[in-house]
Amino acid sequence: MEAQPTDNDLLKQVHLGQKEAFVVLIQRYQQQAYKLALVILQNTADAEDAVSEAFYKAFKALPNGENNTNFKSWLLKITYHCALDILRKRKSQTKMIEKTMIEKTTFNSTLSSIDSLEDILKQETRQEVWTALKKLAPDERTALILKYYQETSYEEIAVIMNWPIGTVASRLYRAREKLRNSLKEVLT
Amino acid sequence: MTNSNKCPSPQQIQAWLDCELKQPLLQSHISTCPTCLEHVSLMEKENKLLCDLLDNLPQIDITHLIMPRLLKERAEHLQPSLIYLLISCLGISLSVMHYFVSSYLANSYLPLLLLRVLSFVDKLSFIFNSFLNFLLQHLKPEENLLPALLIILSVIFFNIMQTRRSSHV
Repeated sequence: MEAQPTDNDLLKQVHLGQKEAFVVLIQRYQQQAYKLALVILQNTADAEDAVSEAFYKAFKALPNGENNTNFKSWLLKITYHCALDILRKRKSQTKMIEKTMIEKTTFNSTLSSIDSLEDILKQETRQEVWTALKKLAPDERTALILKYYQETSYEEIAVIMNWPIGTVASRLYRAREKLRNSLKEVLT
Repeated sequence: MTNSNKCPSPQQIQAWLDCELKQPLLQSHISTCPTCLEHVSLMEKENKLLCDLLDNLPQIDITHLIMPRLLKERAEHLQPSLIYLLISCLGISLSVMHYFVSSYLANSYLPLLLLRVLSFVDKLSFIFNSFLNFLLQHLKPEENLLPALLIILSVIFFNIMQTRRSSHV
């Protein structure tokens, strides 16, 4: 089996003019970036815009792969900032049209194809987790997703979120505590 | 953690669970203390719930959105570069031609021909300037115009110098 090229190998190839290498990077990280944006923005269309913009910005300022750049962290940082920009724009709009929210598009669509009671219960649990997650501040949501889904280290979270490293643990803990309080029923 | 019998704070347990704390004493305590194990189990359950939620979020494929945008950007970036190259080549060739033709004719004994050729070169300069204006109108406003402007100014300056030199002759 052929070994997958590393991110730095792909970055070097992009610098040599091979655009296909950037397509591989997009395919490798688009889901992670999208889920991060989705959790911050809670809107599929906005999340798609944020990820698209993040990859565009990443391409324009692409590191050359010489200094063992952590492309994933770097891209997630750009995605985080793009999502925050969209969030800020959205907040500044005086008349915000209520867009299709994630729970309508995601959960309801899959709900129709569910057969067993177990699946329905699982679906309901996800709904509750999502609602609990929505109650958190965007940066708390981001930190939780980075740590428990993207498996990012505290050090990387500190870089992405621009927090001092000592703050990461305390903020994560606080976010988890809030989440736990909202999910009391699910967890017991 | 100096005392292995003392329970660590929930924040420390979280850091240990996140593989950010590597203290053997803490590890041995957590693995044997029922209260701490309860904490760990609760946190693991939370992690599982979060991962389950995120695993079931919709997926996207934005390659088709990004790549055409990037390729278009690259093409737009190349276009002004080619125009700059064309301007530079024209400017240099015209300057060289102007210098050699006028200096050759200045040393010859054919003043009438000299005047005609100089007039032709002036016309050529006029056409060149018009061409430059046309090109510059088609450049993107955010592009850096400094290289083109420098070339234009140097050509104009060179023309003035040559005309003055020729008129002295």
